[in-house]
Amino acid sequence: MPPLIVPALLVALAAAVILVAPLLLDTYLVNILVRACFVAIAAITVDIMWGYCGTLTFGQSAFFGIGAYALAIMFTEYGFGTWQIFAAIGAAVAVAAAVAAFTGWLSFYPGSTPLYASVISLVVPIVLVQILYSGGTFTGSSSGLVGFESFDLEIETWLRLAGLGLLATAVLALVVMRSDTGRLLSALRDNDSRCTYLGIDTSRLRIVVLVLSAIVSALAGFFYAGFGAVAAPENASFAFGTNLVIMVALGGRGTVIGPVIGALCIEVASAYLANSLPYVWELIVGLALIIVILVFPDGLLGAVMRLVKRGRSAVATTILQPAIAATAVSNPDAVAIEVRALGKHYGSLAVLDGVQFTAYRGELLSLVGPNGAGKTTLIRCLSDGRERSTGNVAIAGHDIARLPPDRVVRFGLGRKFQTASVFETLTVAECLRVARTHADPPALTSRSATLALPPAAMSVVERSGLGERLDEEARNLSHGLKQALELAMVLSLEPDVLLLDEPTAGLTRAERQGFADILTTLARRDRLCILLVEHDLDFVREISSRIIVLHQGRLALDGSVDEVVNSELVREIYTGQHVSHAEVPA
Amino acid sequence: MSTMLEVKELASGYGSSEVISNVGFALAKAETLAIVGKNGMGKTSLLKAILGFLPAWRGSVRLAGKDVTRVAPHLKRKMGLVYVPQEHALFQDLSVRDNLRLGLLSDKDIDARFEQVGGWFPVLTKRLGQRAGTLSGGEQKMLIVARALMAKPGVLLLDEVTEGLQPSVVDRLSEVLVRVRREIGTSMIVVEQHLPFALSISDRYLVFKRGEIVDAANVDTDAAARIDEHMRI
Amino acid sequence: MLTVALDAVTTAAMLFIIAAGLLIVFGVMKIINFAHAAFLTVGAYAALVGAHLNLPWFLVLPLAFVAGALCGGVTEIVIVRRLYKRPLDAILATWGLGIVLGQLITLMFGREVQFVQAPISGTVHLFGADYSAYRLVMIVAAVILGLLFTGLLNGTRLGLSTKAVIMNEMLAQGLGVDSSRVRLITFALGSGLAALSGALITPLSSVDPNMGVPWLIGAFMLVMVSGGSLLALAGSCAVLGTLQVLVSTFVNPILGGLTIAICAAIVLRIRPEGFARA
Repeated sequence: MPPLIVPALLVALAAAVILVAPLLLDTYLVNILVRACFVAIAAITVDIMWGYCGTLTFGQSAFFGIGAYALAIMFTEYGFGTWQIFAAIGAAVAVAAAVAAFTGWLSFYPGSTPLYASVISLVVPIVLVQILYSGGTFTGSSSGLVGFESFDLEIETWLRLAGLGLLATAVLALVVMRSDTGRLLSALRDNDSRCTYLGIDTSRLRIVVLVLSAIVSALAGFFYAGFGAVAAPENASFAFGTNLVIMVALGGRGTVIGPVIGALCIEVASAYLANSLPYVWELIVGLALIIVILVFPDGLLGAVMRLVKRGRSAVATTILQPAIAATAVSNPDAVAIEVRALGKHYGSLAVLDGVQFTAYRGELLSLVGPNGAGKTTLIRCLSDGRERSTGNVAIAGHDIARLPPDRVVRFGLGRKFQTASVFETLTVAECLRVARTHADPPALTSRSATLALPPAAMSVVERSGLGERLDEEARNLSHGLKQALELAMVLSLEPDVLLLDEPTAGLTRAERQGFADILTTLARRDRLCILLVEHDLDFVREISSRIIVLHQGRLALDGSVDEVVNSELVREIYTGQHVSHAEVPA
Repeated sequence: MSTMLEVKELASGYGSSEVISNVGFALAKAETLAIVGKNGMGKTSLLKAILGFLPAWRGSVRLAGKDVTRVAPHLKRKMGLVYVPQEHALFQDLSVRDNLRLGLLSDKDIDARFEQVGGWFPVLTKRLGQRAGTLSGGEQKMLIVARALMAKPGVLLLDEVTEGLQPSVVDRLSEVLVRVRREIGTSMIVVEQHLPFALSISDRYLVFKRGEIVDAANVDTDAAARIDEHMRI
Repeated sequence: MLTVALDAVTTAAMLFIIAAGLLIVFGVMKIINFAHAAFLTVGAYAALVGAHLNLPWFLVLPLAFVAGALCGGVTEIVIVRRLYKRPLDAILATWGLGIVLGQLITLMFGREVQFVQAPISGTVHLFGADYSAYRLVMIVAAVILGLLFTGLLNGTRLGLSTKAVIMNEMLAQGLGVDSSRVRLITFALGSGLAALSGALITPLSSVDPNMGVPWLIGAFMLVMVSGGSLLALAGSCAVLGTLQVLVSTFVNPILGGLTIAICAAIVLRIRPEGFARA
């Protein structure tokens, strides 16, 4: 049976239920359900922002309110009519998009924190509600706008439309979130900095998602107000924004269906219980929120799904294939890294001072020095234009200026972090596909069955044994395999320059040897320039073509392996094994 | 002689990878034990497992006769086990005095302790009010060791104290550690790459390789050569 | 003019008193306690009960503090302790607790707005203007609080341990500092302060089950801007509090209510780490 039949049947069933339900339910419940459907659509947008992209947002209510007021103001000022409907929809979409774009610009920039984005999302509805309060008769102030003429539809028709709208939104959200694009968003949530170092402009991506989800939320608000012929400040309030978050948290973040169930249940239950048990009902919601956060962090549906999933194992479906080879290296010995008078200061403390060197393609350059010598800081200054205090850095002939990492990466730089930095909840294939975002833009509605990798990444995948585990989640890999996966991800960028920070730490002897072979091949055959920070001097001696010694933030020595290993200076500052060699007669 | 620290069949690691296996040794009162081996062989992990920062997967740790395998790190410190970490070992933004105060559990005997420790590290007594982050590398290292000695530790674990230090500072440290042992009878474990320093202050040594002990013996004139053999392979 | 200046100073003082508890929790635990508003309300109701029982004011304040500290201690043990690694979830869980406490208070005391008499009534004649005496008390209270905290942090063993935990928790543990105890004490202290501030401001505002929420947002923004430093918090309260009073007086009170939130959002965009080291 083709895999799409079951979901298609479920959707058809849901549609049938929505069409029949109005005939069976009493008017009061139908009335509540219409509103609940629109609220559920807003909850889906919260789920996308929070459950998938990792930004806890209290601000989706603001966009809902913008939609509601766009309709209310238009119909109050100009009456009800065809052009007014379209003008109101246009206004709702435009204002919501503009506010979302501004909010996004405030919330997401290189280095912003999730907490800060949450803070901004709190401010937006508060500001909006105050503006509504001070809008006089135009916004109806604290009592909102009522008494305007609105759509004249049977309540049963409303429920059918609202239900189908909710169903369509949910299906669309599910399809997109399960597509390659959706996995990219989850990668953003799992590890924003890894995305940045894969050349992805994460801030822009987050802003785009926010704008789209704001538009959807505004449309939900638009019809909510159209149905009730009321727009009230509560529709835009911070309290409603937190209620949406509670619905998503209880239902199950990152599942789309969970938040829909959460929204419908809470809306219906509170409509019934708020009258009979006014305070107790909210008390129960508060308690439920605490318990769910503590015990079932992924919500009730998430907990159920985890139980169901437990028995199933991943079915291998992804097929590897070679990517069309990039153009051959034009100048195999070109300058790859050029560093001039590089300095990094924290206040008066100089971590790096006057560092200067040039590295060429095909070189395997090791960076050694005692702890605190500034090795990792140097790597950071090479890959992020905003890090250094003074001096210049050029990667493959491009001055990195003050550019953020995602731009530097596009000059041909790849950086592997010290601790394996992968996307924990994505499968191996998905991690690699995210790394190929620039070469193969991800599909918006489907998941690719094949994975095209450049030769270098392919050889790492095959040699490490990742090839057999493509459809396994990255968090289940061993430490060594995670390191290999991250290397393969970085190599998927087809970089000219590869920066590695202690890649062999914690690896077994066999894994280390494998790593050495891979690195040597990359330098010799693929003409990569590799800069390696490494503690293990034996490993360094074995694979390097040149060694740079860093000591107390200065470049102490730059020479061939023999020159460095036999240097007096190095013995003095790097009290490793060599000192004992020199001073203790064997 | 009484046993201060006894480690038996200890195993531990990160996530699913076991980085130390089946480690066992005993440390007598006022004895110094060197643990040598190349980087990345699990020496620091061993210290962390003894302290309890890494959970023990198997085996036991006994401190002065008491089983402390599952005791939290801060409680072990109260029982006299003091650790000198290799990295991030100072509160850079606190003064030298406050760093030293943190070496004691209360401010009760602070003046007497300042006096003794100040005698070992006179350079620090002139800089008590200075921010620790503004000291030179060697002075910072002395401060870290001095802070550990504030407590008159029963057992002192030193992780690569000589790394990146000038020879004169290394000499100063070994002098002080020898005096400490004589004056307050501290037992020590010295994890080191700097063999001459480690052997000059130790009674016995263990060679650590891939999380296991591959050699253990008394320090004698041939020790350096034997260890060198292990390091090469 | 003079009244505006005094309004600015007293507003800054009130903001400082309310935000201080939130700040120490954020400083030590990197967690925003959204139940702060509810603890503030608990303190306000403690003051209300005290007033009904005719307890003297100097007894009501410690009573409110203890009530808040007890709530905070239990909260830390039952909820917050499990969420240190999930700071965003901690916001939600403490918000849930805020809902629960708010509803419990409603069930016990009803929903209506109530008032507490100021212990010091009337006005003081100051620089040629008459000004509410109790508002001036706020300044004194803020100064005492600031000094107490500076003293606690810089002059005591607990303060030293707390600083050590903030700077490097693992190192502090290795030195024998029980960091979970430090956190418990910090959270209880912060919650106690929230309640104390609630009791202090009741004579100036009305008491109702949701009175804390409007304060929470302002305090929250101030804490983010000050980045965990008490001195920076005092500065932010002074600057943003003054701005708020100026905008409310000369432009529009509703816009005045937004001053802190908007300014703080923009300041944080430009300087994400706040002003801890400025």
